[in-house]
Amino acid sequence: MKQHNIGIVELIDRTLNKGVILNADLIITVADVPLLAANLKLALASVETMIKYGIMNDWLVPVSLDKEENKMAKIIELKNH
Amino acid sequence: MNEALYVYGVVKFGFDLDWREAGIEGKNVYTISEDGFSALVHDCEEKPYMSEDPNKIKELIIAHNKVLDRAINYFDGVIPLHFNTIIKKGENTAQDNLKKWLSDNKDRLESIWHKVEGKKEYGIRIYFEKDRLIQEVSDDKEVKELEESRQGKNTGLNYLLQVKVKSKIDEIAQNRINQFKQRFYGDVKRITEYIKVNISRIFIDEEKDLLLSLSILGGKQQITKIKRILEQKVGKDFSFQLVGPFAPYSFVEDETA
Repeated sequence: MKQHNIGIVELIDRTLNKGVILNADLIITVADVPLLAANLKLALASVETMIKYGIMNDWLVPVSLDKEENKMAKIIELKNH
Repeated sequence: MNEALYVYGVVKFGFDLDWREAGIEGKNVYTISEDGFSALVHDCEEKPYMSEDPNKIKELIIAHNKVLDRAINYFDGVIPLHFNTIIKKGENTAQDNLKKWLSDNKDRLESIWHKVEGKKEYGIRIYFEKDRLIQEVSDDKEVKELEESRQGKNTGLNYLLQVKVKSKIDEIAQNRINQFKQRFYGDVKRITEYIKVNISRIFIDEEKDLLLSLSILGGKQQITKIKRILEQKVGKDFSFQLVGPFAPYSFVEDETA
């Protein structure tokens, strides 16, 4: 995948999964955000399956970073599953 | 009739503005201000932006981010809101509801603004050449000694030693990777305190093996220094990509307001 495309993937990932979430009664909530992500996967020809993710996961977990970072990574991981 | 407001992000109060046709689907973007902060909005219906067409979703996301990019340059920072944040009316108008939210969350917004002002987010992807690293580790003294110890052994013992060699190669390679991660992380952390490990929901097929994906937040000088570190660290076994800039999504995500 070209660097330009990786930039777009990173942008999409941030936009759909991150940012301040308003916790108020008067907000239209979008519980379907993961569906949007699923649609986007179709748009990105090189997006791989969750099986690939499983393989890559071993390399992504920062096993020997400092304790705080490990904790943070775990939180992020839990949030994303 | 449009009764709701799509909110892109929040900036420290500057002045009222009107960005014509700058928003999603060419909507006019303007600010609603209260208690020192301004929300960047456009008028919309009370329903989220959705589509079955992935290209349309991509368009929506890019349009959302164009507004944030413009804001970050115009106001020297932006607090990005989650995509599809739409405020509807209740007993009061959507505008009044948004103003109340800005006012109620003034202290929290102040704290976030302090963190993101003058800064942009970048993604760093660190890759390693797995095959090359394994090859290099195979030349390690310990591995070579183990290899030599296999000579003249019977088949069973030879097999066990072969497994041991493989295990030693994996162990040494993993140690080198971990050392690299620790050193790199420490070097970056000395330049910016804002660094996070990304665990993306979107997985992509790349030619190289991804070792680590990070988000960093920093000003121009900090990013330049980090880029320099990346260039110094890159060797025959490791390489990197720096992508961005982005609005500081990763550094406001725990900030539910």
